[in-house]
Amino acid sequence: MKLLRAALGGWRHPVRSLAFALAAFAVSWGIALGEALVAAMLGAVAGVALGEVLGRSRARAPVVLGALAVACLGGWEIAALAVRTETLAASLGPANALVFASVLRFGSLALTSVAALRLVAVRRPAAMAVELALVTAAFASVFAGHREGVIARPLWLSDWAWQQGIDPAQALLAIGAASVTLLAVLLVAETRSGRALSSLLMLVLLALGAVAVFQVVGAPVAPSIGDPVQRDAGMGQRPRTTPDAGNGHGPGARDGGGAGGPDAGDGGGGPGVDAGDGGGGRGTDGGDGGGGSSGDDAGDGGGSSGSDGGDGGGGGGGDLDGGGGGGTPDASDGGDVPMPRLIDLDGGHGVGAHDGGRPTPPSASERLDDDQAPSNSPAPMAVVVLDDDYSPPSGAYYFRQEVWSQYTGVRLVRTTRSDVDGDVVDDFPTMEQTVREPIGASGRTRVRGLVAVLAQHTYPFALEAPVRYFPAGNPNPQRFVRAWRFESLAQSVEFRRLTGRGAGDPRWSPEVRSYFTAAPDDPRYHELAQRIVNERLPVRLRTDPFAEALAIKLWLDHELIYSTHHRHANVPNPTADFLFGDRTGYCVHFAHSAVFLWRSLGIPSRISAGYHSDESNRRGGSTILLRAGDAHAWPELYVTGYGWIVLDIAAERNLDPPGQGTDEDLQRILGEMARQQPARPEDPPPARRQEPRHHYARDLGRGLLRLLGAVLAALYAVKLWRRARTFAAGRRALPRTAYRGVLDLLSEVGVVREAGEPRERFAERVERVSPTFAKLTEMHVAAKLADPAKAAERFSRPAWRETLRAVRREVAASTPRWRRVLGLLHPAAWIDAR
Amino acid sequence: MESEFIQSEHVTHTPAPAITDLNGAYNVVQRLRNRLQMAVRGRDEVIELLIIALLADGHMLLEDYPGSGKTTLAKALGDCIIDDKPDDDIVTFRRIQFTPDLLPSDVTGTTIFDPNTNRFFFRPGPIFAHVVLADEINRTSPKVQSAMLEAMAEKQTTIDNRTRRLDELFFVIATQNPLDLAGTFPLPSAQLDRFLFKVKMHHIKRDAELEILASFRARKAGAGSDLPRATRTEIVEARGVVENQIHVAAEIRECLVDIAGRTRNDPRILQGASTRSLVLMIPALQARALTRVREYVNAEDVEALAGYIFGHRLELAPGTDNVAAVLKECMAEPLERLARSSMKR
Repeated sequence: MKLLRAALGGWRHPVRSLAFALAAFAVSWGIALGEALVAAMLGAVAGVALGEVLGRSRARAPVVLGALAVACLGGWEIAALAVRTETLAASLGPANALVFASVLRFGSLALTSVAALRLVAVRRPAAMAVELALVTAAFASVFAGHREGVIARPLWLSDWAWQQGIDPAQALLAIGAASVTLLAVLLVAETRSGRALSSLLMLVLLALGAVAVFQVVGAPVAPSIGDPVQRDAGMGQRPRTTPDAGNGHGPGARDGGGAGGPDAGDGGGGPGVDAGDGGGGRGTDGGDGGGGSSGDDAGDGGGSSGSDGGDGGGGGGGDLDGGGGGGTPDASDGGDVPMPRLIDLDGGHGVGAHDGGRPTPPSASERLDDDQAPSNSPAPMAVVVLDDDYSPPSGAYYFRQEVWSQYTGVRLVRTTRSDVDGDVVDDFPTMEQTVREPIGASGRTRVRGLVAVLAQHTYPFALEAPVRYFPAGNPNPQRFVRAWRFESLAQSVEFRRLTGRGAGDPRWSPEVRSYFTAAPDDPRYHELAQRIVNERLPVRLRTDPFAEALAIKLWLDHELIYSTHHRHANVPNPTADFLFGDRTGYCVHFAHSAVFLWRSLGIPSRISAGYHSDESNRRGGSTILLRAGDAHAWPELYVTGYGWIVLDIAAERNLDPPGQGTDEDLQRILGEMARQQPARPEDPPPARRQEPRHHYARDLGRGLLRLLGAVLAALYAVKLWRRARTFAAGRRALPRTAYRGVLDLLSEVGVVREAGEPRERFAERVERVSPTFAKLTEMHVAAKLADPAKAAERFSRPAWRETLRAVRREVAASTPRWRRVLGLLHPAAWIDAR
Repeated sequence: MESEFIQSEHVTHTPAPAITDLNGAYNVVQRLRNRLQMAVRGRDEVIELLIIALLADGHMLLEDYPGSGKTTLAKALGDCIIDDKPDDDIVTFRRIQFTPDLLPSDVTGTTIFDPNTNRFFFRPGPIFAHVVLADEINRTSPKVQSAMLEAMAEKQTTIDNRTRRLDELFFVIATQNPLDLAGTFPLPSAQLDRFLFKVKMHHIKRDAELEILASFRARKAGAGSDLPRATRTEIVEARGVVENQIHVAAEIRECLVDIAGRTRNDPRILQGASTRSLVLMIPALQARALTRVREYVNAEDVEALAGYIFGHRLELAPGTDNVAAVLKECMAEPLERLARSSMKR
């Protein structure tokens, strides 16, 4: 121990200051401004110095602690005043006033608390264990609040750790262990042998406590490094272990992460889970699974999804780059849950995979999945409130979120061009926003409405076909994630009136037209389409695009079988596999089949994705509840003069069990909730009446009153404590505490010892009040000054009790009652008692 | 604690049991006190100090006007003591009246040629006694004063290059007249330091004075002479008990050092309390605790004795004359600290 002390030498205080400064930093870094952070650290350092000085002084600990508490409260009060009143804000500027306030707050808090700790520790070295515990807790607090032991914050640390291939949990444990060891060394070095023992005992107890907590919380699980077996197995298809294997008919069909994504949240999916909030998940692997697209590039979502040419990994690209959103479930496993988003459609042929790495548009299209949960899930995703009564001719509302029109050679994806699909927007409105290419108004009716979403969405959506978006205040932040308003030109023209018109916009360049008619080379599409048209249409309609499209739709309605369990995964060309195979699949397959057939006949068409809701669900109200299971993808064709017309496929046969109906109550409640806002959010909010405040005096008065109250409370607390200690003291402390109780009593009736007056002389003076007091004084002084070897009887409890009683009786007898009552109420009489 | 002491006025001194505990020592104190109080009325405070100085093995300097009972007091003390070693040529009481023409040998004794035996033999001077009254010590020359003071400090005297021990119980009561300073040789501060206490005796109270007048004849006739006395050995043993059995806590020693430190740092004091004064003070405090029937030294002892012990040792700066006030200020803080120490763990 001596060695330790010598080795530390003059470094003890700097080391301790450092430890406290770091602890202050750790506690406040998440909640304080930069300046306040510095103030807290400086305050901690100054607190160490102040505590040392106070601890060595002869000031009485309760008094000093009280003063520190008052100083701390004072700092907070002043800080509060600085922000509440306008004087300071006016002279410094609001930002500076805020900085000032938080500097004051954190600085004073750090200063006083550290000083108090240090003071106590200087007086009672065993109390260093408390310091130790608090510093430990300070570090621990930084890492608290991480779900299931997954440590991803602070990001700078966890990112660095991941890059170094270290589990951040271990890095954090190492830091914590180092700082605690530091203080423990100080503790042992500074205490004398007897006390060090008790301190160490405390340490052991603390450690046991920590272990107990640890077991409650559970050990951090190293994220991401998945089970190799599972990884390998994962090659081209999602691990069957995931509970959601058979889902999805949503546009993205699959899991995605939102609320319902089983994979995302619950860890069932295995390795993927944790990267969750790591943002991008740094996928670990790259290579494995041949999935090719290494986690990283895919993760950027940059341009190429997979570049790889790897087999099976098709999904890899898409999958990873969902990473940004809440879900990001599979982020870490490039290859191993390849399927994920792009869905069934690409089960095997993934966006870029099949064609050997041709750059494809970013998996934007897949993002939809992030927002939508697998089918049949009744989880509410959004509420739409229509301002205008509108009944769609098709009997269903279509909420368009995004458009897939660009043919990749396998499927349709979001366009990379800027001159097409200008009728959707990418960003949530922050101001009134008109779509780039608003649709013409003919055959359409203007519908306004409000959308409030309950889960994160990547893009805004609105009733087909949206023209303008407006920002809207979130009507209930606890319930909704965000809200916006839209204005759409919804189809009003009857379908039968759409015949006899051409297809496509005459203003289109031939190049754009060919863009919207690009289809697979596979001749079977054209053959099939032509056969259907020839079989089902009278001759005069055989060249009418809408009639042809409708014929094909009706044929598809009849022929196709709906099932979310047939994913057509693992095949090079899912659409062909579906259409020329068992014809069993779901909306994405349907939509692709329809569009490819239409396009083979030269009809400009595309796929839209978003939500779909039957009109009947509305139940006559204006509220439409969109559930995760309502996610949908549907084909559209461009009818000259009317723009994009939704012509959805409705399979007559459905292998899936029927879903639940809409929960009317939920729909009504959410609708009402969503309506709680100005009808026209684009209007500027009514200016709040600015009432100049002239309440400085009142604020100041209140602050002072509060301060006074706090001081009074502290004084009474000390008084009560001293009184209680009289009776509840250990044997060794009896002469002190009991005598102090009597001194308090005398002080309350106005009898106090002068400074420098020996106790015995005081006792003589008090004789007229209480003759027995002299005896008590002698007992008290003797306990300290007499030979300790002979002092045993001075600590006899009965003797003390008896003498105390006598003194109390005498004081009561010799002083008037009002004097005693007054003294009892006096909060600070004890300060004079010495 | 009073119960630990036998409160008895009637103690026989023959055969005298050895004094080994506080009860015995207090018994000695009681005997001395009773006799002295009977002999000198209205001087209880000085009597206390006298007993304390006697038990603390110190000497006492009384400063008072003529006729205030100094000599009476000293004689009474001599009367209290039984010489239980009659054959050692040391008597219980001697008085030396100091005059300017006194020679050192008049005090210490001298060697005289005996024509009968043709030898020199030593004839002890008046300091070979248990209690010596050095009356008007400032009237004699520094040479005599220093001879006297050597004897006081060392309990030995050197005559004709031969060092002779004085008695173990050698107690000097010196007096000096605060007025009438013409032709005197004031004691230098180094010599004043040899006295444990310097006591200024004040005029006694009216009641005490009346009582003196009333009881004068009775006392002259020998009233109180039958009260028990103490032997020289008992007093020496009581000193040992005081030294060994009265507890001096560390806080008390700290307090003394703090007081001395303050007197040294006070600008009104040219020369502060010496370390020797502190060393001398410890037994004085212990003796006072004994006279108060207490087995430990407390703050009140310090406060009560500090003035008598430090008062004549401090040399004040010009312009300051009230030594008591200065001393009180110097003591206040250390005493307060001492008082508070009992509230600490």
